[in-house]
Amino acid sequence: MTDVNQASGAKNYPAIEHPARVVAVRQLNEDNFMLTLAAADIARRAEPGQFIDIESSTFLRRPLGIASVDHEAGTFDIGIQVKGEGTKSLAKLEVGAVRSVLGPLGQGFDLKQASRFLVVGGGTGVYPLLYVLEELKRRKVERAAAFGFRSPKHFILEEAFHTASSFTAFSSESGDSAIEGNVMSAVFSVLTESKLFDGIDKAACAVLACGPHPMLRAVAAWAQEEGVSCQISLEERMACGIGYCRTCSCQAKHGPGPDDWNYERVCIEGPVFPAERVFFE
Amino acid sequence: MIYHERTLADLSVTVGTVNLQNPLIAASGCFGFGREAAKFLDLSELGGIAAKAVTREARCGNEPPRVAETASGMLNAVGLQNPGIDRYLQEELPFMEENGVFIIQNIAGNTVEDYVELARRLQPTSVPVLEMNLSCPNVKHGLSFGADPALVLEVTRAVRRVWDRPLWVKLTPNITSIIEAADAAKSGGADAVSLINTVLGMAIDINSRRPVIRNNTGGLSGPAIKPIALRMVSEIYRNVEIPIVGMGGISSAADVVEFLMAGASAVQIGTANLIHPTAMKDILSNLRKWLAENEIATVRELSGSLMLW
Repeated sequence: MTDVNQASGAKNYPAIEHPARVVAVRQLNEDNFMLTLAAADIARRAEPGQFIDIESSTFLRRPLGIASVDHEAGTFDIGIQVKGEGTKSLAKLEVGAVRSVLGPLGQGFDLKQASRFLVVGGGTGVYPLLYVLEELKRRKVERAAAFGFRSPKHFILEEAFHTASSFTAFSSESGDSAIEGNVMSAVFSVLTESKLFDGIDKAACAVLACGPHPMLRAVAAWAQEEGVSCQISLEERMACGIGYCRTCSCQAKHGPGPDDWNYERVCIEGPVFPAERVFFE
Repeated sequence: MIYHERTLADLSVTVGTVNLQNPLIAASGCFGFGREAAKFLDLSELGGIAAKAVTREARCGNEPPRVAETASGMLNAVGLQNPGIDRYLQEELPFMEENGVFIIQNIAGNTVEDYVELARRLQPTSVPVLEMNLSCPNVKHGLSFGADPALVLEVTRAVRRVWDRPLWVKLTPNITSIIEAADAAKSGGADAVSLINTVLGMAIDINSRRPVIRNNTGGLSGPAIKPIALRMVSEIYRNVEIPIVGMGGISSAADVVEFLMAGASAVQIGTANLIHPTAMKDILSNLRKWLAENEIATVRELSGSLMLW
């Protein structure tokens, strides 16, 4: 991790805190915004599923998934859903503003686990999945994506997802879209249309999911039934994002017994975990 | 800006018989055992690390959510998650030794015997300073030791019998008279008191009608508690003859100077690290600049220099 400077003998430490300049702000729907930030070091190192921790108007930083990266421009995108004061202040940032950002942070998705990926998301969980799909496209890996939202007015980034994935399905629980029901309706629809897993060895298939807990539970249960491996990205209330404070913990199994679990940090050991290690109460 | 060698202030301090190369110590619970911070800064350049509280048995900690943001601060209820003394001795202590850390090892327990046993296990190690956490308000064992001066006296005296190196007692602000608590620590044989630990508090989610953190209550830290901490440091400085390690919301070099002026010999920095991973390094360099700009030769001369009205 650290290099020794030959000339001085002093250790060089990689910077963790970066000044990031806002280069674009886009409103996606009523309460969702996309910020493009310039911080070349983060853009260069960011892997799909990792997150950043950005200074906001309130005391703590806001952890947000990396939604897209432009390596040439040295920029990356983050999606923001306005929930409180902190996220509101971020959505109101103007082009040119500079904010302190920590990152890239955490363990991302393992994209070498399989050769075909079904990407499943809902709510703000869809943001990091855009970067996942873009990276899979760049690597020419077979993929399909299914998203669940409350109603069509909550859909976000439809165009970007269609560009990143040849097969994409959006479902809404309100019933006024093409696919009615929860995210599993979108999963079945896109699998039928794409034939992504048809006749393929299960070991070559994997599911990558990010979204609300009930959704993750349903996706993980289905993947287990199908015998397909599943990685899920978790969210938890977080203070530092770098492993110092031990507040963003989640129960993670390390063995088959009922007591074989520990609290692990979403920020360091996660946010992505193999689904079979996670408890869904 | 360039400062000449002769204008560089002497940053070293002493806390009783403990010599520190500078007054900045990482506060217990906000820095683990330094493993994560070692990626971003040189641990041997800090005044010391008050390493995360260790208990006799491993503790998995509280159910999440464990943190809530508040005005100018945060509440936490981690629940003393730590690997227990056995694994600490095998894994964490060697890590800190290898990285040249000046170790102030924090210990916590539910009974007097717990503290005594921990001190006994640490006595044969290289750990130079023990800090007794009597105040963590999060673990459900009824009243904390720190809230009752008689208990502070009893547990300090018991540990003193088995620990022959410097002993610091970390005081809780959740008490009517901090002076009585400091007096009790001194009578029990403490070499210094460190204060303040977090202030017991609550945050509420009006939509769910539930406390934000699963433990219901948590410890408040950050700039929100700095005035409380300064008042308590100043009170002890004027009323009890014992070295003080001050803490509570320190996030700048000016904050460090305030605590030293109020009577602290050294300070601990906790929550600031959670916002800026290299906060301690930055504060140290700004402290150096401030001393040079103000032509102060030694940081020690600031201690207790506050002039009350």
